[in-house]
Amino acid sequence: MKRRDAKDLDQLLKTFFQQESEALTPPSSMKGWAELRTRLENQESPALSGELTKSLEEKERSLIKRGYGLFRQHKALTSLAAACLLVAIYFAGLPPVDTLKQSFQGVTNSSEADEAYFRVETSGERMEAETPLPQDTPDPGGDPEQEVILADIPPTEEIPALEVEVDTAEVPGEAKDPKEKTPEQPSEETLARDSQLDEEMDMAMEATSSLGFSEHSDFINSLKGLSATLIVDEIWYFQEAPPGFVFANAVISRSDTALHAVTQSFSSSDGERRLSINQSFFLSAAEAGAAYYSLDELAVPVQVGPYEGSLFRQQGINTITWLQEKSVVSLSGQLEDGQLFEVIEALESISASSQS
Amino acid sequence: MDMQHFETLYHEHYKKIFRTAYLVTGDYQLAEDATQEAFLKAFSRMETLRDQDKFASWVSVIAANYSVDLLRKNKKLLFTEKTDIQADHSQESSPHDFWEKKENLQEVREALQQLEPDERMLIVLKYFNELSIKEIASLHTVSPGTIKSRLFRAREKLRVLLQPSPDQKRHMGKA
Repeated sequence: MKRRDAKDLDQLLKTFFQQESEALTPPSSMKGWAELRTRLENQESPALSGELTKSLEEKERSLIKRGYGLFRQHKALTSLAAACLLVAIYFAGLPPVDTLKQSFQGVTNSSEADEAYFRVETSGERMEAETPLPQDTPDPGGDPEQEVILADIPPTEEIPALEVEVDTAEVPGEAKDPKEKTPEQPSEETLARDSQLDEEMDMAMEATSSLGFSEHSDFINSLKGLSATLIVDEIWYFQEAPPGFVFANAVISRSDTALHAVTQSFSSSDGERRLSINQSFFLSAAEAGAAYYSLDELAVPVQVGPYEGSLFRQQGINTITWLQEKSVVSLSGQLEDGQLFEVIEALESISASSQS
Repeated sequence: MDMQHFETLYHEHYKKIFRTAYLVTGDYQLAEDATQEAFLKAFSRMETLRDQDKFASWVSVIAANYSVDLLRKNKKLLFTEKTDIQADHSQESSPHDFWEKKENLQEVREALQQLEPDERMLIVLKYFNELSIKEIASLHTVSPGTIKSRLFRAREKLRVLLQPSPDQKRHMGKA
């Protein structure tokens, strides 16, 4: 009887779907194609310009980082060079740097020259460089004799000389003559320092606060209390701990203006297995894409809902990562593939529209 | 991008894909959105499809997945009304009549609507798109066993929802 029911049910469903689909009139495919064609054509150009912008930003950031790194690496030497320079200026009868800057403006009265000056002289202080000196800056009242001396010094020769002296003459591994010194290979220490610099740069660019939660309900309440303006993409989370797991902790990393990451971790009841979901947010789809596509290429491509995803298997830990519009979500745990997919199905989401 | 080729594929499969999305969502607008997104995704990743003959199956699965996701995002549109589909079984006279009658009833639709979106998706892919368990599994990158068990659960749920009421069973027993 049960077997017959099953067979009947199969037939019933096939017939039902056939009738339903025949009764349904789909919209015109012509209109749909026109819209889709436009989207397909527009899809390539923004992606390309996004990549170019990103590439330029990366180069700029790399230069700043390198400069900052050199300064940090040779702080003592840089300070010594600066001290020597001040002594030299003193003995040459030149005014100190601040006075020099203002006197220079008084002599040349050229804002363009000022900017060039600031750009070189205060390269470590970009804020100052980007703030033009007011035209009505009062004359420092320096010694007229000093001004005469200054006027005799061509600024275009004097100023770059400062940078060259500091940056190249004192830096090991940057010697002009390769026979004298071979360039240093990046050591582990250097790499570690670079990594540290990365972190410091990030922190310097924007202060981020990380809120840790040991109570699941507190985390859920905080997540649901996030302002809609911070939510650039749909946020996935577990309302309840997945079966067999208990809440361990959670972290929300954010600044005043942006949400950076949300992490929710669970451990199995016996404490032997871990499960966590991490979502990192980016300011643009290009950044999110770059972060996602830089992941291991050996991953197995999967489809997570409408999103493109990857499955990584490593040392008993399976990780499913998928790319959303402006975020990358990773669900990682000591679970079988199928179990991970089932866990994904239990995820719930918060979006900007649901918050407003 | 070969627009000419895409256009041909689009017109050729549009209706079937739209119907797939509609049967999963039960909503005309959502089905239209899911269909567009599915084709967009498919055409953007066309090079990843190894067997071009599987295009229809592939887009169907993408559209079905989009449909499930849209339903989750638009939770207000979920089929939340739970009607008592076992209330009206007094007229059938035999098991055969019972199932036959059901074909013309709203009850099948309502039973399907009471399934979870991903369960309904599997039922649609299996019985409307007529994909095999192996095909569904490979397109979802899960094992056939996983799909089989999920499909079994969905069918069992449907069977229970469409089961004749106790009164109907008594009536059928006499017939």
